[in-house]
Amino acid sequence: MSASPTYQQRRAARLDDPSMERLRTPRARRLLAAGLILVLVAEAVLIGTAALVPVGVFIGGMLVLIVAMVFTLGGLKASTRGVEELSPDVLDERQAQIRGLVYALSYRVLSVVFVLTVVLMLVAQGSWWAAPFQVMVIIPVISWQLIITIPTFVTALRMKV
Amino acid sequence: MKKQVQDAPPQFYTRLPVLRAERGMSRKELAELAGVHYQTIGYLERGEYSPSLVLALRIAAALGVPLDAVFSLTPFTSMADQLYNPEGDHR
Repeated sequence: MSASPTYQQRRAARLDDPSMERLRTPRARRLLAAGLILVLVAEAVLIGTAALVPVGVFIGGMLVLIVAMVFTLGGLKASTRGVEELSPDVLDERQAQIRGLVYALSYRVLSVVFVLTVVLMLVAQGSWWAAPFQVMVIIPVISWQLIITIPTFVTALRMKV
Repeated sequence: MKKQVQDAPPQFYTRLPVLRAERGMSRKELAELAGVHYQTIGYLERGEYSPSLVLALRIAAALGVPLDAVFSLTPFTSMADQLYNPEGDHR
């Protein structure tokens, strides 16, 4: 009797689904990455204009953006077969090697994003610019979402997976 | 830079596509026997990925041939030459 697959094995099988092959072309990956960036920009705009719109519109907009994010990020992960997020136990040696390269490159990108976040926060708090409260929310929220998706962006845009 | 990489000689040579085709094996079947993703077999066949010693041995075992029949650091002579011109008169 064979042991039932682990969560990682089930996730690997789901992300390696052959029916998602059309998402694995360089063009599809670029489109999905652009879509995810658009969702983040729309989120920043929505948070920035939160005080100007009714609560219902804000919540509705956020729900739409969350759904859009789930689809674009899910599509992007399917396009990379989840190499960047899966445990090495369910990857073969080539995929594990790619995963290592992804994290090395992501670390450099992350350093840049972190420095930009800190600079933006300092600028927003400077005495010469009375940045609205929303800006102080947008910067960390978007930076955080960008940071957790960097490995997926790097894999989709730079790696042969 | 890209041109340089394209012009660089391959790190290794392989007869994997010929041996696999000879046995009527799909990439997926060979991948399952070797315990890797089927894409990895494609990368190996195109010489775009250098396998570890363990993987190379597993592939040779799956194909039922010695390791040096599958991978080599020098170019292989063609199968046709080996079969029909064993004296080495390659014209």
